[in-house]
Amino acid sequence: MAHITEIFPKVVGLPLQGSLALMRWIVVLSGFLMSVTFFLVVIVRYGFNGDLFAYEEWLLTVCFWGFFAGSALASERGHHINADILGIIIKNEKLRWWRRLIVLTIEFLITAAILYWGYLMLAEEITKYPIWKMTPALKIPYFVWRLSIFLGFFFMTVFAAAYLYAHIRGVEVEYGDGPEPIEQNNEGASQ
Amino acid sequence: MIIAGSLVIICGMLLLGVSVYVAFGAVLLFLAAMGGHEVSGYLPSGSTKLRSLVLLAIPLFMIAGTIMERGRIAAPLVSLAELFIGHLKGGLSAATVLACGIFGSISGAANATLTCIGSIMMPHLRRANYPEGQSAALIVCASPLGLLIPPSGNHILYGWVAQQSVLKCFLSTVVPALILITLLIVVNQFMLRKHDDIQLLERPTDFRMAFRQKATLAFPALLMPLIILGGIYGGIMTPTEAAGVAVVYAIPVAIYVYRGLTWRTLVDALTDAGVIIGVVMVMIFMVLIVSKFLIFEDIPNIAKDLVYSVSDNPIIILLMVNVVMILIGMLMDDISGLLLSTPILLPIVQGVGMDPIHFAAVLGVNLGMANITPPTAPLLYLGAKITKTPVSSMLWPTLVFIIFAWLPTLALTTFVPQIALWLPELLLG
Repeated sequence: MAHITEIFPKVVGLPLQGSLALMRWIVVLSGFLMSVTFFLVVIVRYGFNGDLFAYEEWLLTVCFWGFFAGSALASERGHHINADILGIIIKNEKLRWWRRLIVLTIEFLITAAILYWGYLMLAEEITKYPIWKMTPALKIPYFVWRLSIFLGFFFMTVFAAAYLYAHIRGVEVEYGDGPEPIEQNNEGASQ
Repeated sequence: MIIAGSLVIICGMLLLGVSVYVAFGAVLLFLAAMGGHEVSGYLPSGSTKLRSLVLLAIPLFMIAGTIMERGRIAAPLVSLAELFIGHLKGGLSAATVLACGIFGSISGAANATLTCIGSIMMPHLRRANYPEGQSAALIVCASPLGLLIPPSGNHILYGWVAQQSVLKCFLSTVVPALILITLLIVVNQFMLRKHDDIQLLERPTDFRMAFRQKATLAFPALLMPLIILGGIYGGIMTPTEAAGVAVVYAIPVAIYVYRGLTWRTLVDALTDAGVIIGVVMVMIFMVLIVSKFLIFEDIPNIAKDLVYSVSDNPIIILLMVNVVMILIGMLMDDISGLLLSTPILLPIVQGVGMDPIHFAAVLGVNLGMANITPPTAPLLYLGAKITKTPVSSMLWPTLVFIIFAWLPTLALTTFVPQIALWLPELLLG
């Protein structure tokens, strides 16, 4: 079974794999920084009677990158939460194929619409340059975390398109949570 | 029109199996078409609302939960609980419920509780001839205790949305959780009455020695809720800071004490936690935008008028609110359900004199139950995966636990306000 990035030509697949590796590190580092920072806030407060100057400004920026890199990775792994009741009820293979086609098409179109809103948000921000909105103490432009939202939805749209393409072409790709693994598991358990 | 349209879109999308964040995106498209909003304002409004230090407690508790899950921190807790009641008939399953409660006080999440306790306890229960479907259902039905026993990610969100004290919200579900623990154990005992082939654990000859050994092993794990809850209620840390401290404490405990993680696997655990966080935060992001525009369209007041037009009897209204929340919970996950229902339902229940802290408890129990109520029931399906038990064999016992344990807990929490309010008033005034 192919990984979703392998269905693309190498010229697209390789940069995508590189981006995924980068996103994994962003996610790890942001989680680590988040935890250590709050630990240090407590230590500095009670150990040194001080505080970390304007830590919330840079930390929230880092966290935004972590959140949206995480959601892009969730799209890559097919881990976004869904109810998928019909996926469990429908047993007919043809109907299952059509249901999945509809779901993947909707997911692609709506994620693309959100990406477009993200583009409008960034475009509006860029046109305001150099009078950018900034955080009060560290002067971090709002553009920095808004870019993370845009890039997050960009990759989510790419993966939504890739899964749709793979489904239409009948290419089997690794996909995360769906009803199938549960049923396989159940069969395994009852044997 | 907007209420009906939004509801139809949400329900249709979720039933079809579209991701929750996409379903909310579809509602935004609908709102843009109906209300003529400036769509370029959608994402900035979401990002402004998401930029909150309070909300960072949620990802931090998720990281802590993942580290504890991978770090085998739950095993000594289970072992300690087994020591006390494992030798009684039904003792092992009662220990499972207690372990879910104890683990809930560390992780603050139902998924982590289910994954951790389920994977440890199910093989024990199977070996001891406990009925498979019933045992798996019990683990699933006890796992939302992770949401009811403080700290709880849902209460942090509720406190933030409803502008209420998070500490009071935490305490509001402690008594309901104790009632639920008792009812789950009693109902399970009753269901076990005809099973005579259950093997009981042997009571150790030297109980003191065994207790000392197991308690020593469990001590670093038990210290965790003390640090978290002691820090929060002692006024030393905010919930977000406590969550950060919990992660920093859990890492060395998982690596050097329980040896469930190495530095290399810690990176994998952080990546997986990051993906879960991404899933939840993008959902929160979308729901925040939708709820902002629903409020902008005056939907809470329209919904209030709608409910009051049916009846102004407080009991009927509270029943209706509960039914709505159960339906919401059956269709979507607890976080989206909470974010969507709080701004709409809180004004309605406040209209009949319900305290917002009391509503926190009602919402907590409701959304906990929704996680295990078919057809959506994410915890039921996750539980089937983890315990390797067919969903079909879990359905009936799950229904029994819902009817005889969860629903009475919900009814008591809804109609006896002191169950939710007594502890917050006692400790926090």
